[in-house]
Amino acid sequence: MKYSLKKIYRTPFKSIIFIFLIGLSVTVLCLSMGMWKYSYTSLKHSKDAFTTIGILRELEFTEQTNRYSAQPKYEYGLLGHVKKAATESRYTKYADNRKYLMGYSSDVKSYTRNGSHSEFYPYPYSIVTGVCEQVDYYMNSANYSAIIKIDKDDLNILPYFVEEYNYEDVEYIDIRGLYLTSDLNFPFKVGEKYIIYTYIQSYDVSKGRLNGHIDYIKTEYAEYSEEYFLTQEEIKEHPELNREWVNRITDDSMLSCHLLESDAKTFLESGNKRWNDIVENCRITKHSLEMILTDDMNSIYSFNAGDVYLLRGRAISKEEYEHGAKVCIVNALAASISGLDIGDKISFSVYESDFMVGSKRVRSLSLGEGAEENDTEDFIAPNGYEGQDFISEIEYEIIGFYRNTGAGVRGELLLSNNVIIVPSKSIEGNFNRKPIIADLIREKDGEILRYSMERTSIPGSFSVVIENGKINEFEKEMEALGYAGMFYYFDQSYSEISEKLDGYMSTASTMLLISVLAWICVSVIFLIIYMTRSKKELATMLSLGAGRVKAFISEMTGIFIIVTIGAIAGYIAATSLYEKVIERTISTSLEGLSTSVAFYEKVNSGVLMSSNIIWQSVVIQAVILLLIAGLAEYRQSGQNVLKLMKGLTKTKNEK
Amino acid sequence: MKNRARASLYIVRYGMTGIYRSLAKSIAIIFVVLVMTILIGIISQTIFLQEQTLESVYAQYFIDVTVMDELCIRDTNLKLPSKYYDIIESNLHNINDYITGIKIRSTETLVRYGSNTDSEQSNFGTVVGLTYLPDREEFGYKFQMLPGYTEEVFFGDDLVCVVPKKVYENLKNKYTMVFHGLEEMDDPISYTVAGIHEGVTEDFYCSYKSYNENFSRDEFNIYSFKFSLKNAKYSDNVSSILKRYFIEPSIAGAVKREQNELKLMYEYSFVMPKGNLDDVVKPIESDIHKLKIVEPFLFILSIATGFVVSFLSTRNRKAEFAIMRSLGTSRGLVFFEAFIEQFILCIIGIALGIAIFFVMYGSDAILVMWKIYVFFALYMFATAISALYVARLNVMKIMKAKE
Repeated sequence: MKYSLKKIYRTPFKSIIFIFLIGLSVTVLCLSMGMWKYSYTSLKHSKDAFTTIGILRELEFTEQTNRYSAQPKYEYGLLGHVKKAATESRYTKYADNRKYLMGYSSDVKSYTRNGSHSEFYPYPYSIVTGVCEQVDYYMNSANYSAIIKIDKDDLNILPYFVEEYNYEDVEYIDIRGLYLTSDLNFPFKVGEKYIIYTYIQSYDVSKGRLNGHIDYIKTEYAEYSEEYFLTQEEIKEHPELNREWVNRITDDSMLSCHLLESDAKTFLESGNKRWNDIVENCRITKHSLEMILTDDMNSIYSFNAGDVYLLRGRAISKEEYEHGAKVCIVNALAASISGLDIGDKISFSVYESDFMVGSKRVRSLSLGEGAEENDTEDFIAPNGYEGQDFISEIEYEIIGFYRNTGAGVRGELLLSNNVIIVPSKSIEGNFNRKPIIADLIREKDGEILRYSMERTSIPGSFSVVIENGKINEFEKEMEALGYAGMFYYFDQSYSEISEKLDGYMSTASTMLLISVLAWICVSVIFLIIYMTRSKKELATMLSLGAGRVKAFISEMTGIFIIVTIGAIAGYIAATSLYEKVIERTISTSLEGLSTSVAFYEKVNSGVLMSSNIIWQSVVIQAVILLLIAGLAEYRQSGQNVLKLMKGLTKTKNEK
Repeated sequence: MKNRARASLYIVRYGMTGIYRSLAKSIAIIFVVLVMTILIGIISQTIFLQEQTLESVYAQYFIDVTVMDELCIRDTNLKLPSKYYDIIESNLHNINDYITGIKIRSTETLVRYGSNTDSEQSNFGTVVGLTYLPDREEFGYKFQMLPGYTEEVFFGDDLVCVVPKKVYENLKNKYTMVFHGLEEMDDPISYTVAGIHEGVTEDFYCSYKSYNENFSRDEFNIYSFKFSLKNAKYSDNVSSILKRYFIEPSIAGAVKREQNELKLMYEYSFVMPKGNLDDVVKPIESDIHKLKIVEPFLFILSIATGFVVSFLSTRNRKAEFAIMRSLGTSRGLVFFEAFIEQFILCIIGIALGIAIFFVMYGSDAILVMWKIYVFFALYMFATAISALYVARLNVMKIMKAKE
């Protein structure tokens, strides 16, 4: 070893050149590997930014309520099996079975723009107190019309669109109703004051009054009503009815209006349980929002397709989903009318609501045109609070607002404007197990048939998150199980972009490959040049009687020192360069990030900043170089001394 | 002269023989040069290709921008001052270079219309100013332009309008519609009919500019304001322009109480939903940025490596050159021999490298030629230094194996 060190000392310039050469090639290769690793991690992050989902249109499995609806494409009984198969597919990362609850808080208000049932049901249900000024059947309508002058000093629980925009101007409400009393009178008498539970549908600008309906969906107590054909005497007794048959209620206590002798407060304090419940239910529903419990909001079609997007704040993170964090994303409209902001904490009393099945038009019809197949579509809406027990009280922190680019109409693939998104693990329990009853109307041989069907799941509540780029494989698997074509896929354009990203990675890999080749070439040059010199010294040592082992060790020590110093120098240069470059790159790339959090976290987590790859590649390079040099030296040291000498002589003779 | 030429030729032949004799080393040097050439080229090419990839990724995204009220609740019925139209009309900060599909819709104004200037024969209708031809979904009926007119008319101040089909069919003169204001002193204005719509109501549409000049009752007449980005890569540019006039929703949600560049209060916001664009593109952008920072270092390192290889290859043959000198070869010829050998190896390596690079990347190879020239020059410079050093050395010192 002393001899090797002396040798290096005696030829410092050459040794420095060798060290410099090794150091340079190590630096180039290490930097290239570091860059490749950064590219790989960045690209992986880019690819992970996509979520590929497969969804079912459950309406294709169900008979819909409208009499003109098309027949379902598939048997309803298949639905459960299809969902199970999709969940168990090897291409499925996870299945998101969303649950729907409601959360009440006196600090929130539900948003309504009008009384459209396909958008805002059940929030337009209201309590109105006022005096009846006029009541009559409206022309040949099946509904009577009662004009009520609203008593603004008494109890009124009105929807947002009335309170916010119209209340100052409004004095009257036109209440339409279907049912007469059991004794064939209008439920309203002129001059009397009533408390009314009504569904407010709109504000009529031209007449300056609200329009409401008291026998509407959940207050249409069909089981307490009947069609009644008037007798001749009854027709004479009730000329105001001007018709031969009417709808009437059989139990007057089920009417959605009640005569008040004084005011609403006194009436409620008298202990009428039904009306106390109605008022309380209405108030709680007005201050409720619909909660969607999910494991990934990007698995919801509306978010995935971009119909709904994060307006402010941030998305729920993976860890928050996993740990059931008490965080939520609120609709921006609902948040603004409630005066909520990012960071606010709201305590929700959570309850489970029953659902109603409604039908909405999906194609505009011309005047006189009747609905045909596929012109209407069912939607599901909660009935709101109806006296059920609260599940629990949970405080949520608002971390983001989302905006709906659409009107907020309910639908299988749509989100309404009164929805908040929470991690499913934030509330424990097994929800939405009660079947939803859908009342169907069909026509057969001129006869109208009415019957009910049970639905065991909420349309739009299920999706599978599939591995990116595996849509075809997933569909083939479903096809093999006999479920071909049932799923619809959305991948946020991953299939178009991934090819480009793969091309990007192949370019980065090519650069790494060339860097490896460069290192190999330089190493070969080093070894050839060094070995040429080493031959002479080896021959000299062997001829002077040094053992082969000693000679080998002596030469290897020299190579080891040079390679080690070169590797260390290369490591220092590569590390300091790499860290400086990464630091500058990260600080520039973090500028301008808005709602994107994941990349910010990734970058700060140290994955990209780690220089492990540098020292790992330095060690590998040094080891490979030493191994090859060792092999070459071993071969040379085993050669005959004269052959080694001859190698030198041959060069001289050829001159 | 003749002897010199003969000696030079001999040296060249000697060099070629030398290359052949140390074939392994020669091939290794050629390979080093070849690989370094490709590496230098590929670093630049990588950046170019990555930027192309980024462009193609950006092209997959379509971003719409919507102006909304202060709290980002409403995007219609904004009552935005007409001054905001100046942003587009005056192309402030060259915003029109980045955006397309500009949709400005005005509020409605009640007017009287007729086919002539006699206001007593007119009917009531409404006028709305637009910068675009609406689709069916917006108003519930179809629009179409008459022959000879395109949607571009909505962007000028020409007095053209779109009328209901049933009104158009009843026009005596099918080219002109006359509008009267509601006040008696309002002068009638004649508009040329450029399009029709299938709506049943008496709604008329004209360019926003002409609406603003002729029909608007006040300056707060913009009902909605939307547009799209020409390319998603302009999102930052457009965002920085819009922040001069509108509030950008942020986590803080703070409302600005100050004037914007139009000398109006910050009362409106803009939203630019990008989906997962940032998450997809930012890593690629940061990767390209990193590559641009590293490129000069890698270039220098590659050149330095070539420099050292060249230097070492020449210096390693000191003994050989000493023998040549002792046999009477002049310093100049020794220098020339050492130089020409490395020159041949370098040229072969570079030529092969360029050829391979050309096969890989076609005509783009021309873009990196200057870098390869630099590499070649520095490689030969190293050879020259080393050869010069060796040529000047004392023969006896070399023979004694002392430096």
